Amino acid sequence: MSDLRATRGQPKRGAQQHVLTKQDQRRHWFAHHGEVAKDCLRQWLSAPVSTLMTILVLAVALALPSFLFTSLANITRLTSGWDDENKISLYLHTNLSESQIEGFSQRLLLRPDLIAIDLIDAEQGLLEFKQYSGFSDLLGSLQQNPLPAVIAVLARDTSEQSLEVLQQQLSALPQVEQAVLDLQWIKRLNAMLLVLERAIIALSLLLAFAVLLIIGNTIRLNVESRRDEILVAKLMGATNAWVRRPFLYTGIFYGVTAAISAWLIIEMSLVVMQTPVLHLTLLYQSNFKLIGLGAFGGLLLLVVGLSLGLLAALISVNKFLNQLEPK
Amino acid sequence: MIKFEQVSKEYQGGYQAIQDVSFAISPGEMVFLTGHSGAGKSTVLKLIMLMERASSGSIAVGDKKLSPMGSRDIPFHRRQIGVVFQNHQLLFDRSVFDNIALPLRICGYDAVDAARRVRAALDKVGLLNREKLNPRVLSAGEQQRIGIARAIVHKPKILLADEPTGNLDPQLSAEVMTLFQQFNRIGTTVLVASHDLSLIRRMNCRTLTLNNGRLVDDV
Repeated sequence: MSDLRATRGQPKRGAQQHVLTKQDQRRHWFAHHGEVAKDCLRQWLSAPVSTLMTILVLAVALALPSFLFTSLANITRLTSGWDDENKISLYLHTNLSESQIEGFSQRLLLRPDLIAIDLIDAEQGLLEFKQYSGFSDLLGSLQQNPLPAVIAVLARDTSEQSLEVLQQQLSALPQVEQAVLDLQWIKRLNAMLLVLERAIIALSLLLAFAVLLIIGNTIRLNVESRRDEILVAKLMGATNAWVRRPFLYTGIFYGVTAAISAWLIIEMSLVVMQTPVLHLTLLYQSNFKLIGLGAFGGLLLLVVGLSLGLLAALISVNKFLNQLEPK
Repeated sequence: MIKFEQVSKEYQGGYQAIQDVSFAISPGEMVFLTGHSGAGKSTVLKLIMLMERASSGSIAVGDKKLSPMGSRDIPFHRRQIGVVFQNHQLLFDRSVFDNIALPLRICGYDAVDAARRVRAALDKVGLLNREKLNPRVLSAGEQQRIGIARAIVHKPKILLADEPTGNLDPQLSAEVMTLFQQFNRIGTTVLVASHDLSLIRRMNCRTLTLNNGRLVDDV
């Protein structure tokens, strides 16, 4: 546009400037992007080891918080199945007869402070225990069933205080040997997980800042090494966008490749963990399966990497370009 | 083409580089700017290039005032000016051809057109056979001529030169000056800052003389 401006009112001899149309400019814009991208690639290939090292450092910095978030998501998923935090298990005396147990459980049903009752008699308990504990042979050799009947009740009121009061009331009943508030610890675990989540967020922010610094510093060195070229280009009328472009490409390259490497690191560690976790869940009779970052997590990681790279490059180059502004 | 009206420039720290300088250069003129070193020659060129901004007064280049130009306008302002530096400022990481093609790449010429123009510029400075070489291997005179080719390759309306003969012997200096004269003849406005008085006298052009930041002579 300015070239058009520049040629206006020019004497019609000799020195005439080339007139650039909008179309020319658009073509030039695309051509320059392609050129710059190729240039960047050439630059990385010319120093593959140092480029790789930088990418690995960035990948670890990106992988750590992603890995922690994935683990957290897995743990949260694991405990989310245990949402009946108001469950109390009543272990009955073993000397009670079946009809006594039946009658007791029916009386419990009438209590207004309970919403559900599940009777697991001694036979059933033994069966389940044999199945899941792996002690079936040993248990088979026993003359009589050592297990008590258990009644699992759900309290209506889920507040911690009333649960404790109820637990005391129930354990005072003559039929009950022990009343156990089963999942009290789940509550505590959930509270701990919340703290852990905050800690991971704080750590992630710190590591994101580290990524910003690492890429920013790499770009700054890059800018310094091309200082003369930038100064000359600026004097010849290069726009800031033109000067910035190769560095933005470099920043994006570092961010994206680091994100991809981080994703690989996480997926590989999950593969390594898959077998032991499977073994563990089998022992606990759970159908729990490890989940990875998933499509959304992967995309998020990529976007975060890209944005951090772009932001770092922008900050570094703009700092330099601002020094060149006339005062 | 270039108009200074009571222009002063004070650098940070209070150093007064030029004071109350007024002159006008019409299109197609060739003018020398002289004075001892530190007289403010470079500052005048830097103000025209918008590498510095005037502290007071007004400067207009090609009928456009410079003071309201923001950083978005500066590149387009600079594209109408070609500059030759004393230390030529060639880039040693690329060939002569790529050095000269740089302004064209910045302005967005397509590759074929750019190549044609680069060769035309090289031909003008008589170094057509050097296009593939690295400028490092060229002599000082040749390097300066490559610098000139780079300054004029995009056919700027104005050609500025800061001590273009500073490092050259008298014969090479004369050659460089002849080149400037040739560009001036085809309509380019030329402003050369130089302290080489004998050379200036021989050229028989209008000369602005600065002394301690003030314009003391305009003949």
